[in-house]
Amino acid sequence: MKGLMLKELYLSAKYRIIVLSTYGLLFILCVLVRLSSVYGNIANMTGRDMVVNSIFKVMALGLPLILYSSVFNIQVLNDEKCHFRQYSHTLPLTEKQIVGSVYLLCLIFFGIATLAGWVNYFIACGVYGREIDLKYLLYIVIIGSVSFVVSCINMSNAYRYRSNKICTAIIAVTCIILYLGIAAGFMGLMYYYYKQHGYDLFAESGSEKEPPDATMNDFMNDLAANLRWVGAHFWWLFLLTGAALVYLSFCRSVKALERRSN
Amino acid sequence: MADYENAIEIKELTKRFDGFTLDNISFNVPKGSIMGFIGQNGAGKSTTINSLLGIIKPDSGEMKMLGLDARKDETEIKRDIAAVFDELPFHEQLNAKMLDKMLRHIYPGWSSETFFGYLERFSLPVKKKFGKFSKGMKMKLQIAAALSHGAKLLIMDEATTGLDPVVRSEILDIFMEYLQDENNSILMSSHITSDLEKIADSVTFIDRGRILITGYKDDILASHCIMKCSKEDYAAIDRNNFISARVTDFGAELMFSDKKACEKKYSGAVIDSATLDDIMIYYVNREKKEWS
Repeated sequence: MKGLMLKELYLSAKYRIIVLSTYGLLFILCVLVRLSSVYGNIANMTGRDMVVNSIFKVMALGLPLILYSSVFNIQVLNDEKCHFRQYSHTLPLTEKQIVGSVYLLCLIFFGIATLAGWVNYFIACGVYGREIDLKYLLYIVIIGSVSFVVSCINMSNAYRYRSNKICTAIIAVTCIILYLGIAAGFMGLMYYYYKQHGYDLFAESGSEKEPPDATMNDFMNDLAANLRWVGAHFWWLFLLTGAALVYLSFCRSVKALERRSN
Repeated sequence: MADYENAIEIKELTKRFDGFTLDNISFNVPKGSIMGFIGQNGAGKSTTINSLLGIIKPDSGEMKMLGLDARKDETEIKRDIAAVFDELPFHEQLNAKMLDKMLRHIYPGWSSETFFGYLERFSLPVKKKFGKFSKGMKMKLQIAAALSHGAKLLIMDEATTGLDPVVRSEILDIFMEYLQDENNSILMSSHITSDLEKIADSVTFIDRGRILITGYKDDILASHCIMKCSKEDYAAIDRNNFISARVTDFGAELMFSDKKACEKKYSGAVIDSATLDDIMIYYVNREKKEWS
């Protein structure tokens, strides 16, 4: 297993250097914005606080997302292209070990990226003079967990379909469905929220309407409160779903590798 | 590892594809020998080897390697076998140093010293990426990797195809050295029969998914012959007596599978020894019986 993990490491070295370089560049930019907000042009600009807040969030949560993208890089499809998949069947390893080495490496990168993300957050707090909010540490783990689960599902697709085109198409279609689903859900919630407050969002434009007794901000605050409630009470369900998806992806990958008769 | 007589035993192996069937094939590779597995492209050589290595799942049949069941004891067997393919199965971004580190953790018997020894002998660069290797270098690299973990059985699928005669000869020398250890065996599929004629102890000839001949090379070569005769003499010969005949404007060349009987029956005719190449060509045309 260690040998295969080394192979994955060697093959993805270039990609990870690119990820780290991107991270480094954006990190420097975030620090420069902070310096500018204290000593430079932004210091006297109207809306300075908004800019600083936004860049702080980018530094605290956006940069870990870049670090987590290093989890994503997998060589499964390259194995197929260069006949390594065929060769791997001649190695004294079981399918579980072959697939396991890739998943384990992803898990290790998830752990490293999480730690790096936390360190990055502490640095961001130091640079922007903010107090450490432990919630951010949790947000970073959530971002990473989603990346990890998605990369596991993507890997199982790569083992199953052995084609870059099909894997990309699946990701694209999933993203579109998710986007439309979230947008429709958001619109639906907004519709019912305003309806409760005596305002019909989809009523004909000519008809007379009473103005709503709630603002968009109220709706967003309510939505955030509801999401927090769901998160606080059902976090275990998300955890369980994530773990189940990773496990199922692993089993699917092993099964796909075992399916040799072609 | 169990004591065994044959490094490979294949019994009634069958694999069906759309348009091709590997049909109930059986043969053995004796321990300590090199067997040439010959046949034209698409005859079933790779299917047999891939079934043996577990790359594809056969529909039925029994396979044993090094005295163990190829399916049940797969992982144990694979510690002691090595496979060489016609294409390099390693990523082009890797180099020999990385490959050594990788395989060191996969094969319990891996010897970096042996591996780098082969690299030096083959004049292969250690830090150059495989993507920049020539075809010959890639093949030498595969062989170096295959021989560095103490494998007792080497299985090669068209390993010398596409290589120039100098490289092929160099590789064949390595195989002969490898066979100095009487526990080592080789199954080598190829359609370059001249290589096999040089080094093989036994030969199995496969055509359209069926084994046509299997046995010791010397016996096969000794029993087959080509008789040259005029078209008129050819017309008088019973078609059931020979494998097939090449008929040209100048006369006919017929292959017989029993040289002694042929010499006895046609004592006045010109009878030459057959090469593996001849045997392959005449057998492939056996159904047509007459070809030019």
